[in-house]
Amino acid sequence: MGRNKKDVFKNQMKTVQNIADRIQALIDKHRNLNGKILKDGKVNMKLLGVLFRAVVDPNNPTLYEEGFHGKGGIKDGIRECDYKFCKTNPDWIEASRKHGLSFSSTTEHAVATIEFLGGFQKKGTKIECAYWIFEDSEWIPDGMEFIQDPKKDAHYLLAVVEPMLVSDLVSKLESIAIRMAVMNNLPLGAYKNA
Amino acid sequence: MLEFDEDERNAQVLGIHYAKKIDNKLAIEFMSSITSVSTSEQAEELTKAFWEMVDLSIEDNENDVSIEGISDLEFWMYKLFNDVSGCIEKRGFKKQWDETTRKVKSE
Repeated sequence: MGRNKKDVFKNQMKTVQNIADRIQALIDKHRNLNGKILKDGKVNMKLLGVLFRAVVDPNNPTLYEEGFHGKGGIKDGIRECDYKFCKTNPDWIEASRKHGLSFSSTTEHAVATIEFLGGFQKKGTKIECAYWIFEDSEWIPDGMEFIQDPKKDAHYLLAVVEPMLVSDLVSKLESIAIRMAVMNNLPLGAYKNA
Repeated sequence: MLEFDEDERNAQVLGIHYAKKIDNKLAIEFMSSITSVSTSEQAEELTKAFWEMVDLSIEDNENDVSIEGISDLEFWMYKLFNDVSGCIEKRGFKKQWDETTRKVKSE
């Protein structure tokens, strides 16, 4: 088998550890497990406190740049694989609790995601960790909801639960990106020196 | 049992494709939703097989290879990563997934 990329950050373990430490510190500070995370089928964001997301440069935390979004389709920064585009009218996104941007709730899953996606990037591509704190506000745009992946507890999807125009989803994702922070002093380079 | 609904069919197609490519009977049956994970040995074998499959998909992705019309290998393999690791964990073999993953990565 060719080059082994499972050790994508082999020579950057200190940075990986620093990211893991930062993620865990944010969880310790903002998560409150004194209550049910799921209430009436809905995720209680205030209790969950904080979620994390891997961001591949030059994308922002919620929208993709064409050419840096993988190999599938993209429309106005939204990957066709992430949301369910209406087949008869691609200006619309259908409601689906099985589609949505991926977020991680644990240090382990957040780091594993960064490492996993890192393996697919071109050499030197920077990968960062973004996070969204819900401590003081459970605000999520209308028509959107976090859904816990029924197959993987630490994985959440930011889903569209009411049909909406693509342009509206772009605006909502932009407003979310503004509320998210990026650990941009801890960039990882994909299989740099590996 | 790892099961895929209609929206996840591409993940299963890739799972079966790469399991066949590494010629691992357990992985083929697991990805085909024929068999589940019942022992720690199976969990270790599947974890090791999965990372071999990921390696192959990364190479295909670099070479712009499509598998049965699926070009976005990064997205679908990440979905498969969550599905497979989640299934192994829910069957009670998280320790085997974690330890085998660590071992494979350090090789």
